[in-house]
Amino acid sequence: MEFIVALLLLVVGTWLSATGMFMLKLTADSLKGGIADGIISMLLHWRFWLACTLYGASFLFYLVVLRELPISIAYPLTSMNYIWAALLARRYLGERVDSWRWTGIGLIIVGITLISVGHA
Amino acid sequence: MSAKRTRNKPAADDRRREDDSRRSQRRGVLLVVISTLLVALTHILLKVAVGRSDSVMLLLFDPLLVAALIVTFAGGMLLVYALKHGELSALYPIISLGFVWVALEGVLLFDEKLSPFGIAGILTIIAGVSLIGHTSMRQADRGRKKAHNSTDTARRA
Repeated sequence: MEFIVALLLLVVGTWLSATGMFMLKLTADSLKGGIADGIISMLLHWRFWLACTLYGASFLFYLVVLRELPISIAYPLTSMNYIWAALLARRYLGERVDSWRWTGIGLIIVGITLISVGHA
Repeated sequence: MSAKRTRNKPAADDRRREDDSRRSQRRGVLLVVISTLLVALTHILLKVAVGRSDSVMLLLFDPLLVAALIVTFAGGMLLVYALKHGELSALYPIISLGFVWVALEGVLLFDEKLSPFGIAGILTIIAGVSLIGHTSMRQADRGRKKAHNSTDTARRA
């Protein structure tokens, strides 16, 4: 039972981290001008701070999950956030996520799983 | 004559936009790859800093730690600029290249051993990242070709 709860928390955590990346993308899209201007306008952008908060929250979720799950299971599962980010990008940014891209994301998740299994 | 020009102009604009998006996507992919290299560099700096200091207090005053923070910040900024140039669903998964660099560093610089699973994992990640990088640029190429064709039809009409 605790295993299921930990998995649910992990799903929520990866979702938060993917929305954080999504907010960073929105921040990036709104930036104009050179590097120096870019840094300042980024720091003044509320979405940037929302992105940081979402990242921080996802990190807390991950810490809680690690108390229940071994790292070799928990860590590869965090690569779920590539899936969430692709779904968000398709829904709200109008990106065309073709089957090649899904295959690539799948390969990356398999690769991260293999590395984690190798370390366990 | 003027009618022809007005019909051609949007097509030319389209082509320029597609050209821009293709170049932009390419730059986005390149910037993400560089930012993962910077992340890998911070791992070297941190590993050396941790290895040469006896206490946490000494570690905090190690210039290598400061350097690692600066490189981390630079990597983060590069990532933001990369996101500005390309598609999120293509660029985000490419960040996983960081695993590959760090694993290679472990083997090459710090005499760590890589299990067969680890090697298979690294090769699989490289395959996935190459697939995404390659097809996302080709997708932009295809868009450009379509724009070219629409220019041709506009010219013929």
